[in-house]
Amino acid sequence: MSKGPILLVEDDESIREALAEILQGEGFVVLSAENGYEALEILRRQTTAPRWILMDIAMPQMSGVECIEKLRENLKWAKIPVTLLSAGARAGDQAKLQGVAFIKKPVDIDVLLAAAEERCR
Amino acid sequence: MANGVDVKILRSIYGCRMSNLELTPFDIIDSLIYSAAVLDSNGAIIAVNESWRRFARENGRSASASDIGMNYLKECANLAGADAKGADAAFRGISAVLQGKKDKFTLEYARHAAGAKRWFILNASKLRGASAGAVVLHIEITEQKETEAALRENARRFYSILAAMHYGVLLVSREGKIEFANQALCDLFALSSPPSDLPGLPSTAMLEKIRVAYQDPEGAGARILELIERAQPVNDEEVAMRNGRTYLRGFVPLKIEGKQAGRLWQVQDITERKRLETDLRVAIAARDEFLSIASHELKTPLTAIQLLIQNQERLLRSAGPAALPYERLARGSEIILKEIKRLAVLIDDLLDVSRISAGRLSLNREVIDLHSLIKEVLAREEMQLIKARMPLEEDLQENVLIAIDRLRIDQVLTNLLSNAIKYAPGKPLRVGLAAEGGVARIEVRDQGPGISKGDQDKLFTRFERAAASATAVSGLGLGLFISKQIVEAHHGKIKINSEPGSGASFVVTLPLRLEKWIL
Repeated sequence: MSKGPILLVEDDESIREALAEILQGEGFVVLSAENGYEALEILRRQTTAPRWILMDIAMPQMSGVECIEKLRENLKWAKIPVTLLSAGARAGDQAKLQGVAFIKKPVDIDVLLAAAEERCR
Repeated sequence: MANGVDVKILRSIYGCRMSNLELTPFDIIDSLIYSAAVLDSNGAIIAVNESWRRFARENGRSASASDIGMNYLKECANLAGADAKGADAAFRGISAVLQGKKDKFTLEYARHAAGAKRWFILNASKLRGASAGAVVLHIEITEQKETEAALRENARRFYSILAAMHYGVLLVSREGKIEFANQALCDLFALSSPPSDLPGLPSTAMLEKIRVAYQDPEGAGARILELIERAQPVNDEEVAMRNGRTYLRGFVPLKIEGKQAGRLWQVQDITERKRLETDLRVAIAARDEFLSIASHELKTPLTAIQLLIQNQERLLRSAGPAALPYERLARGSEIILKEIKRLAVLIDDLLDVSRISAGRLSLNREVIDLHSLIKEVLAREEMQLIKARMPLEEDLQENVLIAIDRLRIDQVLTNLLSNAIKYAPGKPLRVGLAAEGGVARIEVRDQGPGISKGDQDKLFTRFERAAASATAVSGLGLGLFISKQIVEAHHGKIKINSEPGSGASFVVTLPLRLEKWIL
């Protein structure tokens, strides 16, 4: 029984691949995107919305925060829970990031998998 | 009585206490350090002092001979030869005094004997009192002349030092006249007049010419006046010039014993220095940015490896020895290995760059068939090309023997192919080889997005990665820099032909000269 799907947005190929491998190994369906634009593209094409969006906060093309703003403009996507992968606390974006969860880098696998299970239950 | 003198008269004349002295006029004139003679109205010598007699002896006249009675004017007229001009002037001058046309006459003249140069002033003045005639004095001024010459020499040396300065120097007197300007200054401000013509000119005229050379003449003029007004030294004021260059200006108010004694301007062209500084700053910024990219690039595979090994460990722990999830462990190991290889490539690139920087890129040449090498590399990259859906078109001449470092040229070809795979996936790739005109020409042509002319210049430099690629493609951007260094170490060339939107063609040419390498 597959779980998810999870939309994984991460610009670093190595890390994207490693995270996808770990999540898929636990039975999650993973949709991978390199950046915010690609993530929105996938969302547009997808008939069933992902259960969870796991996204890197710092990406060269469209940052995690910018992507969240786009998501909130669309009723269909606004309710998808989002977790940002972040190296540290980021001040200033607090208002925009209300209701967004964080997983601190370096990622602890147990924390990651627990969050995935929680979101996709 | 002729030698006698009325002390009372002397006292009345000089106002001094001489009551106890027995003085004659000759005592007084004998005491003078100047050579003195009294002439009558015809110019005949009627009296001379001790100094005169000594001077006569020094000039070769016998000690016993007396000048008394000799006509000094005739003596002057008879003088011919070296000092004829001076003697003539003396004759006319003394005559004028004797005739009452002039009260006094002064002439500077030189009398150089072997081994000693001496200078004198001849001074003739009308004899006061009832008798007509004149007093002639010869005053030696050799010492003053030597001092003046030494001062002139000092000044000459001082100015020759200023003239030789590599920066422009302008010396202005307290009265605002130019005292000195050197060639460098004239060059800096494109002043056509030779520096030697400038002294004596009012500095305001010069200032006007200088002012217009500045990028902001108004501001520059005001600033110069302000500096003169403030009279505070300014060492290094950078100023932009109309000719696009940057000058460094210094201003020194000169003071002698606390008093204003003029001002010194010094100007230097620092355009080159500024350019080097800017280049250096840019290079440092590029290096810093590179270090930041490099750290990120090295960190990323490590993070992935860390995640995957953590996961392997977790799987091993949770499954227990009886039911190991082989599939997942194997898959994890495969990715870990891939990431480690990626790290190794990055580190190799960094090592190559440091080798190149240190000039330690050495080649192990051997004679090989370039065709075979290219086929080998293509075979190795075949899977990647298929994955990237890139149809391969080969146009390879066979049997191209060449003496190259096989591993290094392999590295160049691999780099060109992997760049094409990175930047132009899904489009056909053409690889060509031809031996012509003494060189082997390898071409790797993709149909990717192409590279703008501006980015092409940066492509082969260290620490640069074309901006367009920085987003989608990872890597240190060192590949082409290293490739270029390798190709150039082979005395070859690497070039790119590209237009944005119509793909990129990388051409490597390597000299074929084999003789040198075949024993």
